[in-house]
Amino acid sequence: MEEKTLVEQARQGSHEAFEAIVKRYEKKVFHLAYSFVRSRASADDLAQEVFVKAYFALPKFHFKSEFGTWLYRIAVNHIKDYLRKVSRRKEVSLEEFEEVPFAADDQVKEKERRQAEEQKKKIVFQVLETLPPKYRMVLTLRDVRGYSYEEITRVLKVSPGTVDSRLHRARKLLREKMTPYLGGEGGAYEV
Amino acid sequence: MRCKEAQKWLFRSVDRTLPPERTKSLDDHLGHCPRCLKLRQDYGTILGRLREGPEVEPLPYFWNRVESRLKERERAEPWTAWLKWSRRAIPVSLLLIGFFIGAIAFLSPAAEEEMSQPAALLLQNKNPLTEANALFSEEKIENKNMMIIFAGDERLPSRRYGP
Repeated sequence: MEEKTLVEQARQGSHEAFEAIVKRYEKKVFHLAYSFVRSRASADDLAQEVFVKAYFALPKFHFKSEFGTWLYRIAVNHIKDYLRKVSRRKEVSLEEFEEVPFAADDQVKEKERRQAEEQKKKIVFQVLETLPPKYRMVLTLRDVRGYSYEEITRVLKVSPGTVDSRLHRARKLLREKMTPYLGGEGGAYEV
Repeated sequence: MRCKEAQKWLFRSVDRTLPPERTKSLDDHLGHCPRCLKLRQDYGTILGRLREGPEVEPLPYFWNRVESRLKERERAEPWTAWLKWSRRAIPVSLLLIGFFIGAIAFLSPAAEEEMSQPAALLLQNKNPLTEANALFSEEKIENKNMMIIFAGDERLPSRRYGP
C-alpha cells in the first residue's frame, strides 16, 4: 500500500496501518539509535519510544516533508534528549582498553587481533560520546550512518553551511581527542 | 597550498566529497607535507573504525512491543484516541447537524402568508361585505347599534372594569 494512504489511515487510529509503517522503518530507526547508544537493548527501547511519539504526533504531520524525513527528525530529537540525560550521569573510562599481550599460537593471535580491533573501535565510540551533542549528532549521521549532506540538512533542519562547519569541527575535535590512542598507527582505512 | 588550507580540505578528502580540482592540489601538498599526511591517515583510521562492522539486527517482535506501548498510552490518555477520531468525526457531525436542520425546515408547516384584501377577495372568496350584510339587513336601530359596538370590540382584548 502507498505510504501516504498508510499514514492517513494511521492518523485516523488504524494500528494495522501503523504496523505497516513501523515494519517499513523499524530497522532504520533502530540502527540510527544504535549508532548513538551502542547497546541493542537501549536502541530497541529508544526506537519504540520514537514510534510511539510519532504515532501520537501524526495529526500534526501535513505531508510538507517526506514521512521518512519527519520520522528521522523525531528520532534524532528523541535521541538528543536521551543523550543529554545520559551524559549528565555518565563518566567515560578508558582504563579497560589495554594492549592485548602477544601470543604465539596463530589462532589465539587471530582471536586476540580481533579483540584488539574491537577494543580500538570501542575507544573511538567512547571518545565520540565525549563530544558536544551537536558535533556528535552530525558526525554520527555522516560518518557512522553515512547520511548524505542533504539528508542531514533536512533531518537536523539546519543550513548546508552549518552542516559543513559542524562536521569539520567535529572531525577535528574527534581526531584531537583520539591522538593519544592512535600512537604510531594510521592509514588503516584506504583513502 | 599551505597547511592551514590543506587541513580544511583533509576531512572532505577522507569523506570523498572534495571537488576534483581541490583533490589535485591537496594531493600535491600531501606529497611533500608528512604532518598533513599523518592527519589524513589518522582520520582515515578513525573513519574506518566508525564505519566498519556488521549491522546489529533489531530484537524480534518489535511491533508487538510498540503496540503494547501504544495501547497502554491510549488507555492512560483516552482523549488522544478521540483526537484521532475527531478528524473524521467533525465533518460527519457537521453533515448530520445540517441534515437535521434541513429536515426540520422542510417538515415544519409554513406560516400562513398574509394576503392583500383584493387577493383574499379573489383567491379565498373573502368578501368583507358578506359580514356587513347582516348589519345592513337589520331593521331595529338598537340591534344595529349593538352589532356595530360588538364588531368594533371583536379584535380588542376583553376589558374588565373594576369597581
